[in-house]
Amino acid sequence: MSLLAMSMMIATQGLVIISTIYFLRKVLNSPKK
Amino acid sequence: MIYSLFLRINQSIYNMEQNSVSKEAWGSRLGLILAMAGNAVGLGNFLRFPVQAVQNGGGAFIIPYLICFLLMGIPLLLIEWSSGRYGGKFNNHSTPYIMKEMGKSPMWKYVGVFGIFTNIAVVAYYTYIESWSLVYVLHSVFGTFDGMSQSQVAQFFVEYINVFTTSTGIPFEAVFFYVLVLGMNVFILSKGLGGIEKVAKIGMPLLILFGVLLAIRGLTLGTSGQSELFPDANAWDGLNFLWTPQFDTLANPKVWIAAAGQIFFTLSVGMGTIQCYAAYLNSKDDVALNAVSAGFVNEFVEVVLGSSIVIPIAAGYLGLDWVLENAGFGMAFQTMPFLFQQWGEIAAAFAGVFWFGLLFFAGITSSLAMGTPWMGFMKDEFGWGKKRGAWSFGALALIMGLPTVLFYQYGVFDEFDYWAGTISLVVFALLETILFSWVFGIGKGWNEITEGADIKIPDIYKFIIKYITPSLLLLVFLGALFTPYQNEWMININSLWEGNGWNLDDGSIIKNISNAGLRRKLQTLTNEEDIIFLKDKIFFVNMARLMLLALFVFISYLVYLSYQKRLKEKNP
Repeated sequence: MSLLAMSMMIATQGLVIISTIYFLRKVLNSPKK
Repeated sequence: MIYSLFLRINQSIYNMEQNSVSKEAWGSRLGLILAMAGNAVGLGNFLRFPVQAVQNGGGAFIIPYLICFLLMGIPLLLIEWSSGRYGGKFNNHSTPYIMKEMGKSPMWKYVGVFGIFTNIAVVAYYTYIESWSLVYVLHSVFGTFDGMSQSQVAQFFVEYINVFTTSTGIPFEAVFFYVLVLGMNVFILSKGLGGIEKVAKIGMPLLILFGVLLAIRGLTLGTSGQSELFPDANAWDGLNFLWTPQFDTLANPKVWIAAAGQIFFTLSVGMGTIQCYAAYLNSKDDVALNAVSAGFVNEFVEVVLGSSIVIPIAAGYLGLDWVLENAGFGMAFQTMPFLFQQWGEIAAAFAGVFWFGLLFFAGITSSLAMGTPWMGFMKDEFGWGKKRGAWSFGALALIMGLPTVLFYQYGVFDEFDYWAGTISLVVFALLETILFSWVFGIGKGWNEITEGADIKIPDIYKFIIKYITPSLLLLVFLGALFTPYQNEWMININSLWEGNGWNLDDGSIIKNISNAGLRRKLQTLTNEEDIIFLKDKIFFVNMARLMLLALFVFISYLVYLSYQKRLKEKNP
């Protein structure tokens, strides 16, 4: 696997994982359950 | 006459069921988000996304894909969530009256018919795929695929969908399991939102767990799957192709239309299910954070898990060339069981349960959502309780679905998928976006989105929702209407520019209506048997369209009856 492909995969999947966790944490920490 | 009879029957049902009808509501916010994410996460996340990426420039595909997610996906989620909650304020839980309320014109309720029609038509064949997944879970446990070659596994599927053969000893097993799975859906739906929420709370974490386990295998397989037949097989080649950006493809409109289409279908927008789910929110509940969260859970399943299973595992055993040649929906059932066999009997059984279990949960959480618009409509307008709503939905789905099972090989299944599962969604989403942004008004619409919001949606989205999203949807629709020959946009644009006209592909809506592809093929055939088969196919394809049209007219008539009833009750 080339470095470019690896970087693309890690960057994209990382971005999606971080965003998902960020929004779900916001939901779980919200006072409105 | 028919109308008064209908009202009389309905009144007695209404009286009978009034006591059992209580106000529905979601049990928890997380349950709602998981149910919404479950609605969006479907078979397409694992099968359609990686194939689209492979066919449209690998890693470069992700760039238009993410841009379309921000410019079309998120806006459509916001529109549908807020429209649904708005409708709920007026006790409307399905799109005909949600849209009528927003459009302030009785005609909009007939546009809203799409939001019930699509669900019944799609669930009719979607539950068939769910039943395949369930049967394949059982066969994985029983070791049916042990020792089978790849062609034998592929042939097993072909024989399974022939309703006259049996792999379990149960006569007409394809029909039996289809009815069984439809029955499971009806049973859960008859428990109301509580039942759906429970399934989502169990199904979604299991789906993610199964997906993560398979993805780990896909990412670590490397060259360990090489064989004499496929000495160059390498899972990394699959990942490499999937993620290497071919930037030159970004200039190709085909890639952008494919990316917009993928975003559109993966989020389950344009169906009317999101509006229905959101209609059960309280008027002050958040929709912005909920919508974005559910959207990102879907993206996680698609971009992280969906890209790490089928393609790398298939490339790991069969090589990249095989994947590029055979990438498609059939891989799930005709290839994956064979690949799992390479891991040994026990591991193959587990992998089969994980993979087909994952597909089953992805399917059932979506099909359950498809039942709610019909149930919501019948409850709002005719006072039907959960049980009656669920069973009538099941009956309609069965009537529509049996031809897709019995005449699968004649293209009935594909025809339903094309008109109900593809074209209807785009048309409805385009119209609902115009309604929200231009008729209801972006000012009022923006207030609906931001009211009670737990996150700040950037103001730029006001502009995006009003101009960009409808333009993109129009582009997707025109792309389907005038698909150029062999999907070669640049060649056809040049041809048009040089005055040589636009050559339509047989897959375009315009050519499809006249069965141009099938008729052309018919002219080339010489074998009598093939000619008879193709003539039969054209007949069944036309019958499938008539069935869909009849369903649309039937629901429109119910909407008309409900409006007459509302007028009588002075509550239009």
